[in-house]
Amino acid sequence: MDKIKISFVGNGTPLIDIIRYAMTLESIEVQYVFVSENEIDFVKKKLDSTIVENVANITANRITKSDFLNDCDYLISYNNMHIIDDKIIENLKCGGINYHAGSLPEYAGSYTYQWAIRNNEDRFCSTIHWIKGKTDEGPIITKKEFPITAADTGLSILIKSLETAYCLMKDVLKDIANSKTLNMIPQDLTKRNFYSIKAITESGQINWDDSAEAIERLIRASDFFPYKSPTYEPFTETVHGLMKIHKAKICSDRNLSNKTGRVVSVTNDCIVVSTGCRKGLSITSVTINKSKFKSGSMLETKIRAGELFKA
Amino acid sequence: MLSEVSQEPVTNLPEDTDLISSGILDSMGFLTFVTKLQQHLDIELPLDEYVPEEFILLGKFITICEETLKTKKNG
Repeated sequence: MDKIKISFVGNGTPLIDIIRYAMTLESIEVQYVFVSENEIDFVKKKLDSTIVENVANITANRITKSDFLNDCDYLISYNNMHIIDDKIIENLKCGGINYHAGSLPEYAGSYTYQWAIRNNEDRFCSTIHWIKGKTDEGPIITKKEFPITAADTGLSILIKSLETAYCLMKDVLKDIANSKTLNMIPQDLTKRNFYSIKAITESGQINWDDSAEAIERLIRASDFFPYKSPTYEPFTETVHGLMKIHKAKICSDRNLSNKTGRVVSVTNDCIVVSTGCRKGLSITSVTINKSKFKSGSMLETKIRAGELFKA
Repeated sequence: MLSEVSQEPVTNLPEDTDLISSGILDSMGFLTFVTKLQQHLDIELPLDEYVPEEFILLGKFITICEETLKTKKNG
């Protein structure tokens, strides 16, 4: 019996892990793996394989070989930011399948794990869906929710989503290997929200008229420690220069000012600022003009009580 | 543990090995490695005191681990 031919597109360790699993299934043949040019050598080495190709061969508008996947049953998009050309998807014998970080149709688009924190959601979702129509519009195969806690950051939600997706995609691959029919549950597109990359990358400026909770979530959603946020870094303008805020928590202070963005107190541990609600924001890690300060050295920022941050 | 995360045998690396550009790990793999190591040693590495270009160097990373363990022992 002919093996089921599957190609993969995506990047990094999550992609490699799911391909390794697919390679253990007897009835599946991994045909091609498409990754960014700068990842080709890394993925080739990790998979000990020569089937790795440049993703530019199959992305929208940059297609070089439109018949690349004519003989392929499925294309699985996993941890992938590239838009695959429609012709490539149409040529697949069975179809394209995508892992999306977020609930569909409510959280279509990019970096939705950051938006979910900012929107004060208490749950997040990993979704596996068919690639059909516009981005993230295709019918759903399977999905699984998990809780968002008050300690979660942008990065921690992404990691949880990838862990959840790994289990879901393993089940999908098992079903494919056993020739089971995959679900095709249509999305209610009247509920669709699409989050663009532009919208999130331009949303880093703190509005001190917002509540302390909203500002804290904006900061926590951008926390990709030990890495930089892939989208925005929350910032405010001070008389000392642009201040990027990395860590903060909500606090109460009897001296909170009615003037939003006013510095209420500064100690070596934190800077407390008034917000648009009755609570303040206690800032414990910042960068001002490329110098980093954290709890224990906040007085070195030269910021003092009474200063006003631009709201 | 590094071999386990990178899924390839890793031995006798020089101290100036960049764990990412050398192709041993990628950024997500490095994160998995740090998480597992922290759990195993029951420590929290103060990586926020360094820039990524520093702590992805094997020698620097080992120094950070050793200093954190020393601080933990001295309690």
